[in-house]
Amino acid sequence: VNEHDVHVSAAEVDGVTSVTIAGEIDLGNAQSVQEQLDLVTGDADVAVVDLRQVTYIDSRGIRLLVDLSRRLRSRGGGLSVIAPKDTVAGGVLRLMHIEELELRDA
Amino acid sequence: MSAADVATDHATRLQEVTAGLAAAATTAEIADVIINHGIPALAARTGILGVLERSDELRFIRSVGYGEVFPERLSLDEPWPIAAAVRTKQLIELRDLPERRAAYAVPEAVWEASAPGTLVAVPLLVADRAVGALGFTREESRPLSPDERRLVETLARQAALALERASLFEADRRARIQAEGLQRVASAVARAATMGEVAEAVASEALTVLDAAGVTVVVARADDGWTGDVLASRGLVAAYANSEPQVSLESSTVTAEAIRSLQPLFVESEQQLEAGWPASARVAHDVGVRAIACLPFEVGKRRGALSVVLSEARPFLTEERTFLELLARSCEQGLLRASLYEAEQAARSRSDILHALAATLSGSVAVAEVGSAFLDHALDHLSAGSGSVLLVDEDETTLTSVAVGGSGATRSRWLSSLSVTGDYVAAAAFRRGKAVAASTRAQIEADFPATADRFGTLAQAAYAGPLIVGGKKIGAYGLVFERPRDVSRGDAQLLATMADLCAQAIERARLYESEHHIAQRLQHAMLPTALVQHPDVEIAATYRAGTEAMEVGGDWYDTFTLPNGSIGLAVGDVVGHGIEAAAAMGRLRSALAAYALEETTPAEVMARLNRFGQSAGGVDFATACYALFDPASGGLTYSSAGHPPLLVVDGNGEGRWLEVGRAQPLYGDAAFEPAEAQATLEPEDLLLLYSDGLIERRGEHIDLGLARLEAAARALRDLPLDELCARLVDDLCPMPEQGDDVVIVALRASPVAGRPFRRIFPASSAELRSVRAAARHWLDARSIGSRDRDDIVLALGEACANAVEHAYEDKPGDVEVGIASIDEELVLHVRDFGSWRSVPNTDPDRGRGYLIMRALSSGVEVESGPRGTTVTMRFRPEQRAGR
Repeated sequence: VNEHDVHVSAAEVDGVTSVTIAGEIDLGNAQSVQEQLDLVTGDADVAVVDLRQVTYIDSRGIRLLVDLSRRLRSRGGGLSVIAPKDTVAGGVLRLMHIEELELRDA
Repeated sequence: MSAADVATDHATRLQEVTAGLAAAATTAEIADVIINHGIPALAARTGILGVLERSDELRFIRSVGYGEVFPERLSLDEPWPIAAAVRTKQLIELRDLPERRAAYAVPEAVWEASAPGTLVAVPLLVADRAVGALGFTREESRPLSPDERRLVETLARQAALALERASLFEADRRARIQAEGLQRVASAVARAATMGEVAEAVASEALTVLDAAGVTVVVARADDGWTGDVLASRGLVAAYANSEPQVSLESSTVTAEAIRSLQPLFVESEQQLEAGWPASARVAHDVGVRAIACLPFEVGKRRGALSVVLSEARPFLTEERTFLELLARSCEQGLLRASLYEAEQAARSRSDILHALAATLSGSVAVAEVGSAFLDHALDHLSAGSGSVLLVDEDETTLTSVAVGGSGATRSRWLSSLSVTGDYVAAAAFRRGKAVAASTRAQIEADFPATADRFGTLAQAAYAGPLIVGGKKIGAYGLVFERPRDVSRGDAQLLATMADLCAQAIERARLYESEHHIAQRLQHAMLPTALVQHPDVEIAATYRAGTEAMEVGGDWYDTFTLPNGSIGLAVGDVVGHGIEAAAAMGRLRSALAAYALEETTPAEVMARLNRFGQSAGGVDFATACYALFDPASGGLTYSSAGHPPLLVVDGNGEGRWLEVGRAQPLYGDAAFEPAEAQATLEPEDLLLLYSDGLIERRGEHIDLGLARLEAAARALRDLPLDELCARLVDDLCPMPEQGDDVVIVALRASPVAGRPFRRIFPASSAELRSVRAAARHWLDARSIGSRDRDDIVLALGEACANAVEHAYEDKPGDVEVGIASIDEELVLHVRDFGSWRSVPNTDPDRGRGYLIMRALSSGVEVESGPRGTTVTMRFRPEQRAGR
């Protein structure tokens, strides 16, 4: 896994785990991104994932988000995805109409 | 039976008894022989035999006919016939139940279990000393005949002698076992280096020698006499001790009281325990303990105790008490020696750590390096799982991590930033301006819920302290332990000192970083912000500063277009570092660009540059290379001053060095003679100008570096040039912290846009990113809008990922990608040469991937055959509606 492709960082703001992903998410690093997401979301119920700095995301990346969203929902929480329309991720996610994902502009 | 028969019968029996006793080794076997023969000989129904223990209590080894009602032990004070027989040392004979009831107060249940006729109780005497008692009852109410009486007395005498023999034998065996045990303890203690090892050795011997149910060794802390640590625990109590590794010495437990009073305590029954130490009784009951011996000791000023527990309620025999006392003394001496050794080791290791940390910090110039050095030493010394160093921002609202260290599972849980007001252990230390600790998981949950949340059950203890310089709080450090852990006072002092060193070093590093930052900004400001754009030529450049190690080099490059359409390329290296070198290289770069406009040949430009340097001063020594490329003819004219040779890689991947046209460095000699040479670049030829940082490695011949560069450039020649430059730097200079500055200027003499895009790559997910980058680059060169470009790259990425994942089942194979412009359309194909048979139809990614490809393109075709699969997609960049 080329770690330079993608960077996952996390902070906690008012009890909400806020994760920022920057770079490219593809088949080559989806596993690693998944592990990092699992780690930083841990046993949180509610999380926000900021995709504004993502420069490439394909179906493998979308699956990560859907899986995470389901996991949080099963605990009574949920996932918000920050992906405005004019960003790479915002375009893909809107194109795919993934209803399970709550998209936000900020 | 006649009297003679009876006499014969008794004689036979006594012979059998004698033979049986000779074979009996233990008191239990002796009792069996006596009772088993006594009952038929006396026509009795019940029989009991007890031995005297501690001179005031009978312990019944054998009782026949009483079921469960007969007690295990009986005090000689009790008004029972059998006790009276021992007290009076006289045989007692009672005719029947009414007579017994009248003379003795024995519980009715016992009387009812006994036979209602004659009772005989006889003391077992050895030379007039009672060692036990023997008793029978029979159905018939008939006084003992003289024969029977003799028989009973003989049985009693024989029993007494046999018991005495057995008890001497057992005492001797016990004494031997104990002596050996003490010897083993002494040698184990002598080998033990730490207090824990001493305690373990003592506990394990006590357990085997006494056949005890459990042993615990507790010692009070050096800095807190009211808290004891369990140093070793074996047997029944081990699990309990593991869950409660600390004990309060102020409590009302047996151990605490023995330690406070420095008197040994022997608790020999549950009743006694409940009456005196209810707190201990509860735990004892839970784990099945019925008797406790607790021997206190003193290790210097620290007190402690050796506790031995039994799962039966019984008195501790005199020799057992003696043994325990000796064991406690061995333990005391061993612990004393080990504690002195530990204190000496701890003091030595603390001072070693401070020295080592100070040495590391003196060489650390970056804040992150300082933080890591602190963590490495602190985590190692305390065996902590992980830690973080955090610095506060200007308005003191957020702590941001500058270093995370450790190898434990907790390492990845540290946040990159957290609120100063949060319930985190590090935030608390920052707010209070002093160290905070939680030595158990429960304490973390109670005091630092946010930390508890963050680390889950991985963190079993935590410690944090502030970072303070000159009275100002600049941040905090936090450590978590993956096992419950108390940080001793000595270690807390050590951490505080380490934190002071760390805080000072961070302040130094910040100053240094800001200075370095200025120099870097200056250098970046002096490098060109944009490269020459030319429709027929591809140009890229890269610059990487030598290091994070805070040196600013003097490498520079420039590209410009001359009025006649030629393209000028220049690279140079000013010898020196820091702000002055950066300023000097800025002057040289401007001067070269200015002379290039006025002079016609590169050699003349270099000659003037040399004169400029001599008059302007500030530079002792510099190398430079200037090349002029005419895109119309492909002609290249160049002049090098002390610079390594230019490299050309042609369209077939063959490399050649431009060795001529080279002169000595600038300013090295007043008599500078510029050199100049010509070459021609064919379409597809790749030209590389670079600085020596790309090829030089310390202690290595320059030819090796040149060969490495040529091999890498040949391998990477198909990449878009900006990616090629980046890859060359990454591959050839993998360790920037040890390297010099690096610049590369690359030129390819053919327009990208005219060629179709074609790539063949090994089916590996690691290749996908660079394939997409190349496609993106190709699309950019054709001025496709960024939205369309991203869509095409995404569709291509999906198709390539599918091929990589499914075509070859982990076997090696290739994937071919092409993009061609046909009429108004871009036609994209992705081809593999494998088989997709094993792909499950239910793979949600594949389904989603196809949806993406269909949604983005104006048409997707998939052609699958025995020789592979080809996906073809069509795009109409300008005409696609809606987006």
